[in-house]
Amino acid sequence: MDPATSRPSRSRSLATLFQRASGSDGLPSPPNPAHPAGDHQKLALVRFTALGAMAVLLPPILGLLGYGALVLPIFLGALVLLGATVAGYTWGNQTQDVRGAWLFYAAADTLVILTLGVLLGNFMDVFLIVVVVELARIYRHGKLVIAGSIVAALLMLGKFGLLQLFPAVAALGAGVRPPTQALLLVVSTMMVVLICAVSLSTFIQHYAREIFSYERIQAVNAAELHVAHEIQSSLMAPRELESGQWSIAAISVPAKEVGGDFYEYIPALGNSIGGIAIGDVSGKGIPAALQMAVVRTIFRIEARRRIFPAETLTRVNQSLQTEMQTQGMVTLLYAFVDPLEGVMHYANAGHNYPVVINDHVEELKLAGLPLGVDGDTEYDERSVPIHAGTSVVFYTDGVVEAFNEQGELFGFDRLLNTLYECRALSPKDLVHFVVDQVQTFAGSVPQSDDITIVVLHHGSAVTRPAGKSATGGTTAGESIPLADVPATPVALAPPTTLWPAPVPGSVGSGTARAHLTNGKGGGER
Amino acid sequence: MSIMIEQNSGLTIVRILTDSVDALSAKEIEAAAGELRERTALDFGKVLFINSAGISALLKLVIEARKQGKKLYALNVTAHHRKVFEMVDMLRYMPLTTLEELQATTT
Repeated sequence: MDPATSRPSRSRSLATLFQRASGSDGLPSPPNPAHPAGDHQKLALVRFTALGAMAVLLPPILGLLGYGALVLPIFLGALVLLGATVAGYTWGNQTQDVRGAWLFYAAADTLVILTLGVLLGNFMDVFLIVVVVELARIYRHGKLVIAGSIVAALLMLGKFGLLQLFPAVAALGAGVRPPTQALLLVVSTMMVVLICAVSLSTFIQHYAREIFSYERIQAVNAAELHVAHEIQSSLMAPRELESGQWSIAAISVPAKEVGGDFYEYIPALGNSIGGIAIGDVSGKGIPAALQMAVVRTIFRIEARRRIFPAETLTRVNQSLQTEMQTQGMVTLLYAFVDPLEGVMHYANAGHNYPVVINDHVEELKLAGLPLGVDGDTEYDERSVPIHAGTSVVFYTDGVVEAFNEQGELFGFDRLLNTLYECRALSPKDLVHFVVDQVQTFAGSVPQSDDITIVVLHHGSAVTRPAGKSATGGTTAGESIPLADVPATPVALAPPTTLWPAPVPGSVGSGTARAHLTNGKGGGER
Repeated sequence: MSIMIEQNSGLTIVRILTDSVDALSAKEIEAAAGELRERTALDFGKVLFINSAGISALLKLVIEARKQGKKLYALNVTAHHRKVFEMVDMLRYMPLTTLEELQATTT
């Protein structure tokens, strides 16, 4: 499971950005800043100024101090670095790649320091290794650290050979007195520090701008996701419903702002409780939410055309195959309640088995391929009596696949024990109890998958006074489109009319089925 | 590499080397469809977690195998995943067995 991601903190963003700067995390490039060319020009300008000042001022100062031997190497070094800056500026202007240009400058700087180290004094040796490795470390590029170290080692060996082979060069090195070497070390260090400092500051400034840009985009994304969450929540079926002796409570806790779990009620005649569906689209986040919206729409259309759960799932599966080239799958359990007979008919497309709770808990084991896997699948259907006092719990896999800090799954057995433990609770309390148990079990482990629980309860016969509901909702007899019912508890009209006769030629069989209809006028069209 | 394919006296064994079968490892498992032989066993011995994308990939693999007339078996499946496989009807197409049983029927 994917860990749930929260809105990134600033420190996380910084770390991410610097990882991105290293190019070693495999992530896509961060968003382009508003003016990459401006940053690049600024970086080049700083280098031109610093190196130009070095080339112009250092030689006469060294000459005046009596270190004439150093004038030419320092001057040439500055010229080489100026040349590298011109090349880097030209390249960076073409590619708009500030990081690449900065790396190019750094490589040139390193090369010049190495060359000076080869030519002048033994003091430079240790300094060289430190500079190479430190520059490579700053660039956060592991391969560059290794390559720099190898190059430094080879150059030191090469320098030894060079001094042996070319006495003139050796004489140049030997001609530099120790005090001069010390001065050279100080000057070179200052040069490197200066170049690195200005380059690094410009580099950081450049990426700081990207960080702010990145965080702004994150904020916009978060706001959009919040709106998406609000839209998805508003489209969900109500969290509580009551209809005569029947009641439903539901809860859905997405792992991200939006999720792929859904539940749905299909109204029966007289707006009483009819069909109950619970589904889970593979994946999470926006892709799953989009796919869920499609599946739910198809399901709503098909469920209103027919009543039998197995037929409905078969048709939804076929529609999914033709209407969308789904890359994943959808598990969906659809149950249809005959409130007069107290029977629930159900079919299952690969969803978790529903659990019946009365004086014990029992799974309704009916397997089936998930939707979107094989368009030729036909689903089985079963019926189970739901006596007064009985609840049926539907849930998604986020419940049983929650991990705790020890890496243990919540699991099916723990769920069944939990359901037995809370068998006396009302549907509303039951769904919250189970979610609390799962969250307590998970502890600090982020929620890895969407969690949805729906409880259908067949209560004892209660006669409510006409015109008032137990929850202060609507009056009995009013017709409320279920999709428009708010998330607050609502009492729906008890079924006052017998279910119409079955549609001729429909597939259903059995006594209970004879009472079923879709409440919309008949079978498949 | 999430899987390793072994040929074992008329039996192909696809060993899943990762502890989590998810969208990434699922792609490799889906790609294994081309390697399916007459009798292929998927070894889940190292697998601790299978998410919905993994289940989807496995189902497509077993459906493809069925259409090709090939037999798939599952080895070393945890009790939790056994139940998940059962619910999604995967066991109908990929029954659970042991390597010993498979080798006994092969020879």
